[in-house]
Amino acid sequence: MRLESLRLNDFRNYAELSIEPGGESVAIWGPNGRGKTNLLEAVFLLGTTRSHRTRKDPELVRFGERVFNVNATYVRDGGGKTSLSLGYQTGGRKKGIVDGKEVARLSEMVGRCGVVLVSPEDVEITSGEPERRRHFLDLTLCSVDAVYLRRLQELARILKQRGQILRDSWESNRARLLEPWDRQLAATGFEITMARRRAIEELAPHVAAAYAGLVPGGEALTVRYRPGIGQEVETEEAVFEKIVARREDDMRLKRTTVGPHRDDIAMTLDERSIRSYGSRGQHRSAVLGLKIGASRLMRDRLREEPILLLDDVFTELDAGRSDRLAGMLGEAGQVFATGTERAGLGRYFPGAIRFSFREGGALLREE
Amino acid sequence: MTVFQAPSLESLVSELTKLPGVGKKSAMRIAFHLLRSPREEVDALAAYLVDVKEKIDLCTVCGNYTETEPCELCKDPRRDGRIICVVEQPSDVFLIESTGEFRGRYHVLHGALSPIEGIRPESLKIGELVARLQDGEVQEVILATNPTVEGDATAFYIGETIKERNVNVSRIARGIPMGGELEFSDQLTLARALKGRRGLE
Repeated sequence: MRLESLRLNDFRNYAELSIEPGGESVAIWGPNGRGKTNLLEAVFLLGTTRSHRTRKDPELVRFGERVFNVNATYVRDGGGKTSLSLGYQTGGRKKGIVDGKEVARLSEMVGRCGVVLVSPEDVEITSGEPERRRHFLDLTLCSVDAVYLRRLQELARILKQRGQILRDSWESNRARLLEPWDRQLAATGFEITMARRRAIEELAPHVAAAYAGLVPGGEALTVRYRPGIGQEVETEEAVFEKIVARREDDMRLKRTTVGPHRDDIAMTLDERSIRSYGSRGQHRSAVLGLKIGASRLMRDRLREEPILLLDDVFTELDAGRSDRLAGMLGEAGQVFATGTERAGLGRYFPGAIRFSFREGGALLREE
Repeated sequence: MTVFQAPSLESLVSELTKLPGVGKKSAMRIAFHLLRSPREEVDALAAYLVDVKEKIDLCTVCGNYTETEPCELCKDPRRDGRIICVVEQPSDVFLIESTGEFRGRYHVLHGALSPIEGIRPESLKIGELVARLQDGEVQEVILATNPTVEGDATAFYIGETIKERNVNVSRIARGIPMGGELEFSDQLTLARALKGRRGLE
């Protein structure tokens, strides 16, 4: 999928912006605080219906305004055009429009245009809490699998309902009340676990190859799934039995201790945990490996190259890794890259359409 | 907040806003429409509003809204008393009836299990359902609660509660958009879902 044109109205710092990359890669440079990330955020928003920076939609509206709109037209890899539009009015809910038709549920819009974003905060994926790694995986899978997104929503609801019973210690016969929720936790939890296991099996070789490409002669990167239902649990029934066995503990702790909400992804370099021992540079390369892996998985599943959004990635990489990354991306789809230095971006993306910020803040295309 | 300089109009608008799916704008449109309407029409509407509250009660057998006791559906001898279709809301009965696929009887729970909203088994008409299974006439129970996690939990719970009784229990098939509610699925999918019901494992 390639973006042909993008229009923003009262989105973040943009009163009105219209750019027409025509499917070509885009390089944007300029000082910090001008709105480079906001532009990538808009493309990300159209792909996922969410911002990568905030859950609060009012923050996306330009200061002093009440409504924002983001529109884009795309051309599919196999030819054929499509358009996506997302609007929001303060106090309301976001509305999605696909090819001129409003979708009944915003989730119907997710994954119409696959996007993979890399931003400086992503170093948390390999260095932070397991929640960061689950979020990375969920973001990738939600774009390629609408059922997965529904299952995640169901899981959240089941955990909330089950948690209430765990906290209602005055209830007598809580086991009987937990039963229907435990059945569903087992069913939904098992499905999510299977989907994640399969995704990690697909991801792992891509991630390892990308890391090896970025760090030639470096350590071997391994990605392994650590399911919260336990490694040895093979059937839905076995998950249910495990949940039942933990009921007493759960009631005492007032939280659910078995399920995909406890999953982690273990990443090692030559069998040493990156999270515990990785250097800053190793974390950065591992994150890039994960993101490139995610874009390969999306391409395989959607049969459509996702759009890559690289937010200030090159400033943090040394010249060698930058060169190798750019080389790797050359074979992929459309890239939107931002940076503070003109020289770097120009070198890594010689064919890209270049934009920069002029005096007064306007984003202009360079000839 | 006095926008209209007419307290009665203010009150009407604020009451209308409490109705499901009616926002401030629609409420004002309805209120102004009523003001323009002939007196007789408004009188009739007002009378019906009071009427439904006075005449309609819950059927003591199935829990559906009714003006007679028991309700017409429970009394109708042409309906198959061996099958009971269990639904969350009276509006679900109306929807399933409009498919014309079902000739058995109904049982309305008036909600679904939801601990976070304080809806417990005792809050629903589950005891009444169990009572209907006492005399052995009922041979099949179809659980047509909504395909939400709450609807599924309710179906599981009822399934467990009545599994010792000598009845077949089935769960309505998911021909319905997932995470959806019966109200939002069209009649065709609902009819298909009813036909394709499966035994509750």
